[in-house]
Amino acid sequence: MIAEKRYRELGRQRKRAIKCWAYDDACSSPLKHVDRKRPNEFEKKIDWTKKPFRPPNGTNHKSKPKAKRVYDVSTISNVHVTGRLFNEFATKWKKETGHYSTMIHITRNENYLKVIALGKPAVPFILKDLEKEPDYWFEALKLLTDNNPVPKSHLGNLELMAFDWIAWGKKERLI
Amino acid sequence: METPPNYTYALTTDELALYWPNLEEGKNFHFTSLKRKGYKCIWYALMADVGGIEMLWFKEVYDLEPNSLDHSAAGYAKCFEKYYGFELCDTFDFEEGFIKVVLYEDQNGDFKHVARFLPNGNLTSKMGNYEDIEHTIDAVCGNEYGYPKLVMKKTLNEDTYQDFISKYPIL
Repeated sequence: MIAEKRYRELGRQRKRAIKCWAYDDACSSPLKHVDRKRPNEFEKKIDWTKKPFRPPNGTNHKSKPKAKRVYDVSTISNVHVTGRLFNEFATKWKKETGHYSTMIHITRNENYLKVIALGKPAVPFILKDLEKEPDYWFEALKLLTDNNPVPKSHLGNLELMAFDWIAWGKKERLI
Repeated sequence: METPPNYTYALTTDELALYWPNLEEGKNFHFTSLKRKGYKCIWYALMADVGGIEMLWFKEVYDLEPNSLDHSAAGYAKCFEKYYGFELCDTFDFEEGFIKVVLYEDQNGDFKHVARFLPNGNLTSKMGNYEDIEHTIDAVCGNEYGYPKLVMKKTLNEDTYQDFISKYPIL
């Protein structure tokens, strides 16, 4: 605290000194209209009262910790980013819910909800994943597309349900 | 990585330890066979001649109201009773001439798993997407599959059973 007070006091003194110098200089100079701008500009560039950033002991400016990456899925429009995020969430979802038996627990998983939060851009990726290997993406597809191409007789048959959705995707030219 | 035919997956020892800490191979369970990913424990245990049986699909097949869905063991028991001819019973053991199943419910009151009794008194279960195992009744208990809650049975018609086996040999 004492060091900080001292630092601020020095800053104030320095500021006062600059102002005095600038005033004298401005009054004595024949080019008053130019010189009068100098102190203002100078003060604007360097704020002497503000404490500069100092990295912690044992570190330098290069080792400054990076900000944590946060996925703001609501603003994602880039196809590559959506694809990368989909792969990440889908892998985790499959790993975490493979042993579950009921759809309510499979579709309540955090990563499944994140895929839904990716929005409609995720639909082609889901359909491609279904083509690769059938999985329980049907609830997400229903929510994202407002469609249900699966007839009642196919309900519960994973392969047939996947086939129906892939056929729908091809018809809509999504895959 | 290429997926094996029929998308069959085997449980790893890490997954076993993580999800079912009570399972000890050779003591209270052993692996029976690999099963395809396309169906879950309910279809395997009930041996009903319908595809995947699941509360969310009951809703669509039988036009149930979304708000009336009960995801507890009792809710599933009602559906098994109504649509597949099962009835509730009390004894947790094998009965000759019946398909007998145990419904597991977790601490939140959600139905989690169903296993079928074998003539030797053990149970057989399909573990989600993975293979089927033979185990004792309390071996799969825990946070993931909960605890045995209800027992149901249905008269086993030998002809129907043989038809079923011939129709679904992979089961």
